[in-house]
Amino acid sequence: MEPLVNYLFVSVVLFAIGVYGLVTKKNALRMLFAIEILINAANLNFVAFTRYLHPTSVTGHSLAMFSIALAAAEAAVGLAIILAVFRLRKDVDVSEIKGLRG
Amino acid sequence: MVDVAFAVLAVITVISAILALEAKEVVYGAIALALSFVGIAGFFALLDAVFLAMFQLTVYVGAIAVLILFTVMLVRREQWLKAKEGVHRAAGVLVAIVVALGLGYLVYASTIATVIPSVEQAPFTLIGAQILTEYWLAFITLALVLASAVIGAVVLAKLERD
Amino acid sequence: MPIIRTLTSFLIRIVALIIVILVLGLIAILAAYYFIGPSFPLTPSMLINPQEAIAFTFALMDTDFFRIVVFPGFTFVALYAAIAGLWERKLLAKIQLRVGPLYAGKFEGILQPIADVLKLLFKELVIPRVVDRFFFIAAPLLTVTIATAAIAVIPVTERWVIARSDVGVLVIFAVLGFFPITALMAAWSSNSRYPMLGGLRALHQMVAYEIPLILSVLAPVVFAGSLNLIDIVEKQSSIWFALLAPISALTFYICSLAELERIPFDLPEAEPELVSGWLTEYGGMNFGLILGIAVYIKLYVLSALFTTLFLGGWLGPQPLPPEFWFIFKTFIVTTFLLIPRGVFPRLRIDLLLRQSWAVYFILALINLVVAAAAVLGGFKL
Repeated sequence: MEPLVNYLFVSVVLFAIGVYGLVTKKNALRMLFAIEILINAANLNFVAFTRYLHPTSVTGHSLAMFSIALAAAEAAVGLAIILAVFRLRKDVDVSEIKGLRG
Repeated sequence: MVDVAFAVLAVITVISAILALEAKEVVYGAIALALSFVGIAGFFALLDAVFLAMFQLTVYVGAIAVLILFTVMLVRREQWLKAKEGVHRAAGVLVAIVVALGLGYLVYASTIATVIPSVEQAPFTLIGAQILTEYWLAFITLALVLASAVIGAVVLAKLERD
Repeated sequence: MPIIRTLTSFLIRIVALIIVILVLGLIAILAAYYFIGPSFPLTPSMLINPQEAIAFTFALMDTDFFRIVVFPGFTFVALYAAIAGLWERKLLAKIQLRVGPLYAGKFEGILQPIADVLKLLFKELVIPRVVDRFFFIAAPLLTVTIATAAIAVIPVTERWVIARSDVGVLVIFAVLGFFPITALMAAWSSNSRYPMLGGLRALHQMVAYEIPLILSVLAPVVFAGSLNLIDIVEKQSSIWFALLAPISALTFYICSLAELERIPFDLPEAEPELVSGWLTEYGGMNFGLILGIAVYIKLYVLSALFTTLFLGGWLGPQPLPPEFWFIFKTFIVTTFLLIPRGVFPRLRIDLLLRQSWAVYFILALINLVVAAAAVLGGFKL
């Protein structure tokens, strides 16, 4: 078996990529991709810890399942919002959507 | 020390994640994102969580990636924003590196370096039992959240035809 | 690719093809010997002594390599696909009072699949200039690969399975979820109007009919109490699940018609409307890969799944071997999946989607609830 730290390093790298995407990108779709990468990194973390620290319990797996289902709901609503905003403004650049700014 | 399967999966997942954010066309990015989801499912399978790996494939690749591809098709534009994000991109990379190094140091300096000698993983039927008995409230709330998300998404994305 | 203009270039192509096949066959034999060599030393006496040769052959049949490549694996499925292709055309011809392919081979056109494959292999592979080359070439390959991946968990008998997995049913769901993505890749890379429309329709249809399919599969799972396909078949030794959950069987049948894009759910390939739907830009072996191999492999997978879940898999009266029963039942299900093409008209896309959500989803859900209530109430198999 792999040492646990290898899985944690992969999860950390994915998390960093997600943070980079969320901070740098202005396209709303790319930001959504970054959020999905973040959630996946966290799920990988959960399952790795369950396998190595509590192999006889499935709590981490249940938690990862809830997380995946919630990510699906959030992706659906986020994409609907992007679609509605695109229809209104023909643009998915989040720095251009400043109607509520005072 | 490092398994071949693990190394290949790690490379595929990380490179697809980077491609998902950096590809010129958003459609390529969406397909690269689906590939990184498949990589994560592979990790779950390596961690003896086969049920969760299939669940991840069905939900993430079979549903979320398809949803993202749908929306990317509908939100296409002819010309794309040129990336004039010089300062922002350097700052972003810096933040990402700081986060990675910080978390990496935390992981490395802790005492979590144990290797488990093949203890049997609990059977996946326990997941169902646990969700329905111990986490029943979260389960019902999840159902309500999913229902409201579907209704909300339909309301938001509905075309008003006069 | 250069167009064949003269007889000599044709002969050179045939010779090159034969040489390639021989070299690949040699590589395959060497790979086989490498995989199974250490446990089965091949001594020259085996070529002379029939007893040793028979023992060696039987030992060879128990290895994983044989399973993946030959019997419940790729060769068997490819053969089934070829036979299903010929059977489809003959069956439809008889339904429509025609004769079907007649001239290839001595007996009623039996060599027609070989003729088709040869024709497709020699056709020029046209790749239009404005397509996205990587996805255009990758999409049919991915479709075939993913369709083949699903046959890894289908049990022909309890001995002949490639992967004994405790989550076999979920593997099928996961594989089914990939097809909308490959269809969309093929459609989008074609960079043209009709394939795009056909691709979006195919996407809508496949995604909408996945859910009643999954719900109708869950009813036998509830009755058997396990996600393992071998356990599901073994629990059917007293009564088939098609009799316990008939509505689920019907819904599974209709949803597999939709997943295979067969008539009456044929709209993504509607000839009068969309030229050829999302396959318009594909020619030659590209077309052969998608429309030929991948569709028939999907047909085999869904028929075999129907047999395993609802018709009792390999269980049957004893004098005939269980492998025969499985193949026989799968063939009957395939016939029923092929017949609607000659009988029904085509559904319009909005009626199609409305039916999936308003009719089949509710039917599958009703049967699932009844099954769950029965099992909770103490119904034991």
